[in-house]
Amino acid sequence: MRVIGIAGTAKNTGKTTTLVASIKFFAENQKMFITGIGYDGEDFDNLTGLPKPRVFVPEGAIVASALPLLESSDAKFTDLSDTGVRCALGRIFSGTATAPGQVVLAGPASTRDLSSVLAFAPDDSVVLLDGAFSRISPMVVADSLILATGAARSRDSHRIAREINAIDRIMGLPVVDGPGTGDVSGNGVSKMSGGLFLPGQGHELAWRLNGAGKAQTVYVTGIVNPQVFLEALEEINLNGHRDLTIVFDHPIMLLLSGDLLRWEEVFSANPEERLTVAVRASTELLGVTINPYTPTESGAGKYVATYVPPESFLGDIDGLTRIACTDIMFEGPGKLHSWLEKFLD
Amino acid sequence: MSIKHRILDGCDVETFILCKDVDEGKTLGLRLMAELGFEDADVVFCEMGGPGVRIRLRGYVYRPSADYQWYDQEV
Amino acid sequence: MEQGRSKGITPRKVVLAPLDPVHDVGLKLIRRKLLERGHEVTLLPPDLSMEEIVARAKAMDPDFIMISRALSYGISELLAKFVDLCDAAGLREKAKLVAGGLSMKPVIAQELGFDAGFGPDTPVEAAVAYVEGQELDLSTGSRRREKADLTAGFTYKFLDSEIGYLCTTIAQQLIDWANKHTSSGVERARLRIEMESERDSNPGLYSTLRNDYASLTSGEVKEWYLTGKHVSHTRPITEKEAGYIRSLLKNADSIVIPRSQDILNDRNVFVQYGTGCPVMDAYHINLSVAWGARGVVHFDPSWGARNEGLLEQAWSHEHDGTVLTLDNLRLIKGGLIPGILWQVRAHRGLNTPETVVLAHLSGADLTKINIVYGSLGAGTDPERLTVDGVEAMRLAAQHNLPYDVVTNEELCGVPAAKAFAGMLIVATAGVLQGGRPLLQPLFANSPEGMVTGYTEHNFIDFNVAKMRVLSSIIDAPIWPGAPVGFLTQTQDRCQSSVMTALHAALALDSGATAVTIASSDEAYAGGPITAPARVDTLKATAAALRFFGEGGISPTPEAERIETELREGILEVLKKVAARGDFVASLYEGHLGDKEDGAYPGRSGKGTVTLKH
Repeated sequence: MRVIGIAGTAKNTGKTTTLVASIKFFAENQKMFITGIGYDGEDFDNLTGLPKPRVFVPEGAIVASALPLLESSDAKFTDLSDTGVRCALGRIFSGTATAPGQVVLAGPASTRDLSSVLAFAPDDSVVLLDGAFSRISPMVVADSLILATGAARSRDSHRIAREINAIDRIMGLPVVDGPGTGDVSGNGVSKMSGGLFLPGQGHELAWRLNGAGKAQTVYVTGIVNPQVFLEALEEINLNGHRDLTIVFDHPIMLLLSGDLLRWEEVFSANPEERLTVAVRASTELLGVTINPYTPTESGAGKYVATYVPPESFLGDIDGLTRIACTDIMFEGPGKLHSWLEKFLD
Repeated sequence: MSIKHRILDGCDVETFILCKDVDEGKTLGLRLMAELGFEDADVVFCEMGGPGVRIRLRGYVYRPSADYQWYDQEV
Repeated sequence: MEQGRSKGITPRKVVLAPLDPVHDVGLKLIRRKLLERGHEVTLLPPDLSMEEIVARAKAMDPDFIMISRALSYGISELLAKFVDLCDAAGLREKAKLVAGGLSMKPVIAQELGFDAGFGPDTPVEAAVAYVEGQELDLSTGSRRREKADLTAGFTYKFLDSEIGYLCTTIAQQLIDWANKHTSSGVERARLRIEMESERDSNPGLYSTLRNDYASLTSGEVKEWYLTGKHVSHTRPITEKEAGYIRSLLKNADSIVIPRSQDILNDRNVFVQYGTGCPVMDAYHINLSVAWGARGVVHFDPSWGARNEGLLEQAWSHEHDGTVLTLDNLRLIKGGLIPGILWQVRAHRGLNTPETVVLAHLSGADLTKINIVYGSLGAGTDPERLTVDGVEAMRLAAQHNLPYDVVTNEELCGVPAAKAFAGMLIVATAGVLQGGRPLLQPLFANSPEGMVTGYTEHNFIDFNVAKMRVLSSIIDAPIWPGAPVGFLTQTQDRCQSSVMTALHAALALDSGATAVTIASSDEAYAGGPITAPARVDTLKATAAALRFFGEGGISPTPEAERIETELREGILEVLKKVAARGDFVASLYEGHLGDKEDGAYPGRSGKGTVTLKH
């Protein structure tokens, strides 16, 4: 079983479109297990009331969703199994579609519950994990990630490009082994739990590197906020230091808190990379899908669908980023398919 | 099939119609119901106040003993 | 605040976090309830960042984290981020995340990644139930499944001995007189019982009895028995229509009850139905019960009171009133949700005893019997209705069917004192025959109220005085109606619903056992009552009860004066009737309501009473 996560930087950035295109790609030759961490596939958006892309699953696909939604789907399901996980809409069951049809996905919301549900995916399946809003935390279970972003996040293509580059850089952090249970203290190794996301925690990190312990490597478990990390960097005297390394849990822990662009400052505060920043595990970023669509409030809580010019929006972003980007609606699914082929290889 | 056929009995339209008096308000109200496709319509309540009438109009889709088609077809 | 009071509940650690200072009232209510039930609750201040909330929660290791925030498109991303932070911080290994606030609903909570979402209409109890791991269906309220006994606990003893003595004397006289007489109505009731017992087992005898029955009918009913010609504006019910009704009962267990109406569960609010069509009736009954009605009253067509005899088979009627036949009643009974009280009225016409028989055979819970109103306000000959009414009361007692006795002659203009005297006489006759009557005074703006000025300044004093005077005379259940608020409602549904709701609240506040309410279409005569009009007044009544709560409604001192006048008036009428020594004669002679009052002895069935052999 291998998991592809489809995460967004915001609501309405095109996750569903990417999911639908991915389902189509895998439909003929690959056993699929489809679930999501939110609510997706409904006809109209719950917040904006605007039409949404529908999620159709082919015959043979396994879907994990709240039972009432499987039961009301026009794709009939067989082999229904209770995953034991409950979401806000009821118990989550997995079932195999005996006929193609539209389905609404309401799956496990937390990483723990997601792991329980994924235990129901066959070993030889590809799991398509649909995201929700800008939620990314449960994506730590994914082997690979497709990121969806676009005008709903920001109409400023330059800002989007800068964010993509920051994410790309974070996702590309080197992976090192975690500390063993025996070598917690001493030997220049220190462990810091509770993350790095509250004011004052940066000071603790600096103390561990500069202070009495003089650790060379600090393992930080938990969420990392770039602003707090910056505060630590300002306190740590990098000049004259020798091979300092900070190891975080996972790149996703760095993407959850604070402003993504603040990471640019973090990288520039460590210009020659005197400090090695690494992670204990990572997820491969396959590519980024760009969506020019954004709902715009037209007054009195009503929304209308608006678009930035797709060609220039995509062109600007693509020209400023290293990672592959595509607009599936504008360019077709070719690039996405190439990423998925690479994933299968 | 029209969704109208899922209405149990009658469909009320409540609104405020700008008009000069109650009679005009009622006439306009019934024309509105005809525009909306209600053949069996009536004025339940109509009161003039300020620039028009507060009016409640009713279109019966099914009167009792009619041939109900609530579930005959998908809507 | 006392903690740990609730036994058998595992105490839970709950963190409540308002993400917006304006919206922490709900959390404070939840905190109070949770503390009362012994849970450990921490309400965080409203000015913390999401990261700070996560850090504090992490230190407390809670079982539940509940946040509140009014939802908007922009805010939704913040809530999603909060969910992510909790997940990444490991809080979700143990804690359930719950979101509450304006616009929140389960699908949005699901999309945001919460374990549950509570909207503004969610009761605090739902949040508490969630914490305690109970299955609580938030989409629906509750409904009592056991039937209320409206006469339980009443002794029927006269508290006013002077009035009691007079009522008993008059009632005994009218029973004695009636027992010496009979009518075609009495005979048909007897035949109907025999016919129904022979219908399947002895077709030959059934056919003979049916011919006897037909010979005692009149008008279009007779024509149907003799030729099979349909009564005007009726047609047989189709199998498809019967199927509609059966499907209602099939789905009764999954019926959705709006939670907002739960306040009506402990009140016996009745609604009347009788659209003409049993199918439409069944739907109206079903939705009325869903919105909190505890009982329903069957209305038959007005021609049913004027013709001798009742039809057989199931019929649909194009006009008001649903045809009274055993098949129709059984059909309607087939769609009734368990626990609902069902009244089949028998009170005013030429088929009163037989209707009690049908009520019994079809499984009704209550019936309605009257002599005075039917005689003076509904067109039936007084002598005939006295004979039939006494027989109907005997049958009701035999079949253990309680019945109400109305004073609708007040609507004609008969003063309450006279109408109440008549109601008390009839009810006493019922008690003397072993029955369980309920007093049903008009609870409305009667012509008398308008003329005397009783209702000039408010609608409270006169109605409260009526309740008080009846309660002071006899220990019997009072069920005002029918429906309450009569002649106060207009065609405006807002005004109509308010009037109905306030009258219902006043009646229940004044000690009524039950109350019958109208729909908001009460004053609209242009067509049948619609389903939304029924919901209107049930919603309004629930809201009025919520508003008054235990607060009560206070009449002015005028109520006491009216009560005294009513009691004196009742006494005066009873003395006249007792002095006359002939109840039926009193009806004809106007002691219980005369032409000046607007009461006219009815002529339907005149001359049909005979001495028993």
